[in-house]
Amino acid sequence: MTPQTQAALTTQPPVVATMVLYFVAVAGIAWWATRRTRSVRDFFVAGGTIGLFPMAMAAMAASLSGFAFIGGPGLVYTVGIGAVYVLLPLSLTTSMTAWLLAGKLRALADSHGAYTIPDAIGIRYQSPAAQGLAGVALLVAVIGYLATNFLALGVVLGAVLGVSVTTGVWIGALVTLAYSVSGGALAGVYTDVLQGSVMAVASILVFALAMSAGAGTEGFAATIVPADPAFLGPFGKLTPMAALSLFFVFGIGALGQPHVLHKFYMLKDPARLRWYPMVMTIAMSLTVLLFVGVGLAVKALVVRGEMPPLGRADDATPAFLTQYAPSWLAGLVFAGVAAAIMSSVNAFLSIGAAAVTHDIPRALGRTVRDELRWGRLSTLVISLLAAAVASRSQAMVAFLGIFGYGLFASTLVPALAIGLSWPGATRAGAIASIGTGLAVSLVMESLAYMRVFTFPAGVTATALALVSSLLVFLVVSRLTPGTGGRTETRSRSKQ
Amino acid sequence: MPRAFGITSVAAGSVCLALAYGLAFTRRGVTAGPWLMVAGLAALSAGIIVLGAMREAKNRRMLWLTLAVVVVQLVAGFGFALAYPERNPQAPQLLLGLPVRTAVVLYGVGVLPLLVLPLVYALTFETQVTPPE
Repeated sequence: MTPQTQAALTTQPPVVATMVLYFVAVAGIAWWATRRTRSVRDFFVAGGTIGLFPMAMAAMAASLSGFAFIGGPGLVYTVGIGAVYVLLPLSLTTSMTAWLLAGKLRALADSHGAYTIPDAIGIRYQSPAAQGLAGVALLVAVIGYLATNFLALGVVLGAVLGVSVTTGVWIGALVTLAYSVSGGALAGVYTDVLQGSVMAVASILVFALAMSAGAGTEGFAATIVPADPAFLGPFGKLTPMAALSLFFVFGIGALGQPHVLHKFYMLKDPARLRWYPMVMTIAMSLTVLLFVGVGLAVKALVVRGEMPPLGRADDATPAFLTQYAPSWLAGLVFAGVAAAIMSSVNAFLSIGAAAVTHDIPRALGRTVRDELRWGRLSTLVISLLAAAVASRSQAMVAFLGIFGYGLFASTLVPALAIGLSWPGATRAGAIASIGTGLAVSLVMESLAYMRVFTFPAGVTATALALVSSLLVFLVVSRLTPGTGGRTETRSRSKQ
Repeated sequence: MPRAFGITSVAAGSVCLALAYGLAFTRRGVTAGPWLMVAGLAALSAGIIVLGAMREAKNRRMLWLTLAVVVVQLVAGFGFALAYPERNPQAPQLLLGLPVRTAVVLYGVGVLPLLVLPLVYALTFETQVTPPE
């Protein structure tokens, strides 16, 4: 955020008031949820008592981080239509997730008491080793994700509340920690509903504003194309390979995002899954309107000379809001950004704590006795660790942040998404693919980060890790004898 | 049978994608890579839908039709954008406010499935995802 934008936000009492109001609402939900969290299943999967709408809103809020409101519009401003390839597979992915995983995970919760994503892998392959390895991969990814999200939260809260980034990190971490530790998944889901609603409303309002301010009298194409013909081309300013690679990574990779999949365990009535893709698609589509609208509008405004060119692409949303939105709407958007980050953080904390207290001990042949207490303690430790990293070393955050999405995708898509529906999948195939995803992600991302080499346009470590783990999974499963474990799980309409 | 088709399609798609990324490190990757990506994405998506959805005997026709639509929209949408470069980039023909090639990709690949797939999922839910007791 530029100092000008930061100053403009800090001096707006409605922005601060909206943010404070939002925190008060979160605290209220946490207080309510804490009184209802009594068992380990309450803590990790809200006791399996959640309705479809809250579950879909929670999945939406968890899957969209602050990137949807800050990084995304900046990416559109920079590369044009090419950035939209992140969103293009949205409906395909939502329906594929439902077909492949929703009913099966929900059924595993009933039949085997599964409540973590590695649980599903362990049950499917009858392999604590596969479960533990998946738990390790998730834990590494979660720590990286948490550190980057805490830093982003610190930047937003620092700007809005007029405090330093470090103070912002700790305010955000302590608020999220308070409701995550006390109310667990129940607090997480209902704060997600609030957070998802704030995000959707803010996105719709800003999109309408962006369309009216950005299109002008001539429309986007007539304004932008003469100045920058590639911007509105079918692949934007990306190469076709790079754009299609985004479609692959965000389309197929989304099938392995545990913070979204984990929500299926929480659903009370599996028959309600019928409408999951519909509800999720509508919620996601409305919430990503800002992503596209602000990026296009700012580009058009800059071309027409009504806004100075941005110093940094990430300033697209703050700069647009500062110039064109009433301060209460700016407040709503920044509450939405904080909401998006906090809902993702809460989901990651739950996954990380479950890996520490449940999945990894199982692989080591141990069982934690009081999982609720240790779950709370793990949440506390992981959160404080990530916040300490975020507040002390931005370089470390940048490094850890590269292991997130790719690790989730490459370790879970083959073994979980494909494996739950393919009887030919074997234990050896699952372990080999999870190991491959973990190794390729860590090595390739580290080498690229250290600039040992640069990838050609369109090639990313995430894409390579995902393709490698898919191929390894298929080949090793073909070459090894079957597991004899659970090959397919069906949901039941009534329990 | 559908499962064998599904996993074969997933395997074929993965191989196409691996080739596309491999070729990106060579000069041939600039032209062949995107086409392999399109083929890989279509095969992988089709395979995943078959694996996930086609387990019961009923409603297969609707699912095969949906599958065909998904494959066609991916191949035709991206293929159209790849195969027909813009002749007049400074003043392209517009469709619904966007250059035609961009409109085909955004509305065809992005918006059309938004309307179709969740509806197909809901209509086939009883037999495909929630089998009778």
